[in-house]
Amino acid sequence: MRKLNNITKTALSTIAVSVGFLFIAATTLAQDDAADSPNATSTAAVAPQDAQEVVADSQSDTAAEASFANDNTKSELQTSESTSDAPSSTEIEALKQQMADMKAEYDARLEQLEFKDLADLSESDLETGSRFFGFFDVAFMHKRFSDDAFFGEGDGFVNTSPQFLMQHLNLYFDSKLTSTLSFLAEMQFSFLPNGGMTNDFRDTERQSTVIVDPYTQQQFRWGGVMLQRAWLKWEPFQFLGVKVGYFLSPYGIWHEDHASTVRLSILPPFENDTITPPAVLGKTPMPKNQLGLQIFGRVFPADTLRLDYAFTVSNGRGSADTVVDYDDNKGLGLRLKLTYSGPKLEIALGGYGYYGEYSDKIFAYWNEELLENYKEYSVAADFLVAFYGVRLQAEYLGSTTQFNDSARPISVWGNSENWVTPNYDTSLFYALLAYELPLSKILGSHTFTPYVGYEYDRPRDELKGYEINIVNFGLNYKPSSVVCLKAEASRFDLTFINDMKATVWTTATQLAVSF
Amino acid sequence: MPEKTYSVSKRKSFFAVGPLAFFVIWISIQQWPSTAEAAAENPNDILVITNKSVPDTSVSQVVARDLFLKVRKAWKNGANVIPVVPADEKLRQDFRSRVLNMNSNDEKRYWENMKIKYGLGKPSEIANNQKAVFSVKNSVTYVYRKDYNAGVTKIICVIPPSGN
Repeated sequence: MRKLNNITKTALSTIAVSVGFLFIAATTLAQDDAADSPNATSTAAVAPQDAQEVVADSQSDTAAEASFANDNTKSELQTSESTSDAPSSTEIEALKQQMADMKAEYDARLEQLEFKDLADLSESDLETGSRFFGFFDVAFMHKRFSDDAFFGEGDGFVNTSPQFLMQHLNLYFDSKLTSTLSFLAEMQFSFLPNGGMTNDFRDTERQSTVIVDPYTQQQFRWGGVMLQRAWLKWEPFQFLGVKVGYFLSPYGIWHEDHASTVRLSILPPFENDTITPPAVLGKTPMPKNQLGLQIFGRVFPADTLRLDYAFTVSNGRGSADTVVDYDDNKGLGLRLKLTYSGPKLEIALGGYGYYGEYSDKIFAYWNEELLENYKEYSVAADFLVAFYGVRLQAEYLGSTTQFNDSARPISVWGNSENWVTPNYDTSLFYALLAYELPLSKILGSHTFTPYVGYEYDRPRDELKGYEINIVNFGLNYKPSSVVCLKAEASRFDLTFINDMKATVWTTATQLAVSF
Repeated sequence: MPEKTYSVSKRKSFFAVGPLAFFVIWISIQQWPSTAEAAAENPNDILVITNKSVPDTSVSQVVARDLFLKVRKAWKNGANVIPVVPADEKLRQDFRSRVLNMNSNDEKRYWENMKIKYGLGKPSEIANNQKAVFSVKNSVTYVYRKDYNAGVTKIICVIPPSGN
């Protein structure tokens, strides 16, 4: 029996010492690996200091614990050996318990040590990188004019034949340089200027960009690239960031969200130039893009409430504002948007005010002449409420254009004295109601969203009676998150000066894809 | 006669205001945050956990949602939030359902839209998200309580299983 006890004691002691040694060896090896590994060195260079400290603490704690545990084991064994040749069952139980505790501690520490394999993961690994992505769309569209329309088929302004269109191939390049610095560029590729129309009501000749390779005689039609945005953003704080470059004016809902995969409808609001000649429409009430600087930020007055702001300074609008700014007045703008975002309800109300000066000059023989100059005061407002698949949104754009008397453009409409364009106001409004059908349990990822919208435009109040009323309805079908199919019908009721009228039905289908 | 006129106008007012009031009450009820608190710890609780460098000690479920949708991009000390999502699809599905109020497709569409609107990318997906959050300063992720490794990260929000 005594022999058996001795054997048991020897075996337990051997196991305990082995576990202790194994623990020391594993800890030492782990520390050696951490110290010797080139990854560990690079980790020290890139990992956030706190993370290093946590890892270092963890390792030193482990070593200390191992040493402490080993010492304890030795002293316990020595005590056990010196006090009694035959340990009692209580002592054996105590030893067993101690071993179990050591094993548990060892496993826990080993688990923590395994964490070090991700210690070389740093903030920059997760938050930096570059990406290419974009979207494109193809549409089939048909416009039909009423018989009594004062313009339409054959007058050269609009095409009434059914046709395919590819309006967007937008390519994005996005780069997160650091956790606070990023760059984004969006380029829209276009077949234009080939087939484009000059912005002159009296001359509707279309542009041709056909050229012939002199060696192969192969004909090419060169197209264009329209820069939508290209900016560098520095966002050191949530409440304060800066964008520098060419940016989308921060107004509205579907201006910044302009991708055809995001927008529900086919025809974008406020772009009714699908039926009217551009010279009649005039300018948009708000510059779509600006070259300059934007200071922006977001604050949270409450958990469910956020306030976004943006202050813009830019060249403003001009005949060539992205290349040369012909006046000293910079365009100034202020955006405010308040959003309530509850668990199942979102309400957002936003506005943007803009002031700027437009100038167009011509230079000849060391003389300059101011061709056109006006000041513009513009305002935009947007409202959105979304809950349980219902989406109601509305936007308003308005502007006042005040010409410099010495630089008023010629008016071709005879609506003012001296055939010059008077000051005028612009008002555009639309509202849209959509409902995403609750069919996810039946159709899975497929979504169907019928919508109906109304738009009222008064592009230039100087042209008495000039109004456009648009009613549209359609269906937006998304078989996946990156593909969108739309079908839409719109009725345009256009009244022009001298009670000229036209009704136009536009039917269109569109396939939009993001990639 | 005036009484009758008053009665009619009162009825009209009711029909005009009644549905609006009903709508407001209904929306308010829907928006009211759940007061049900987990009386006992449930292994299927979802814990929103952060690196120990994060100063925030507690956030609401709405704030947790905003952290993972990148609507809220800073901790209270101004440091950038770095959300990390797990690869475990069941856990992500539970989190979508309980916190984001989305299904898988809604979430995909949300990130497609964010990418096209602002160039915003979805959070990094890491198989052992708990380890990643242990290592990366200012990071945040979520785990089931049963998988939580106490002591290496800290809990800022507890989301009980739906219905609790």
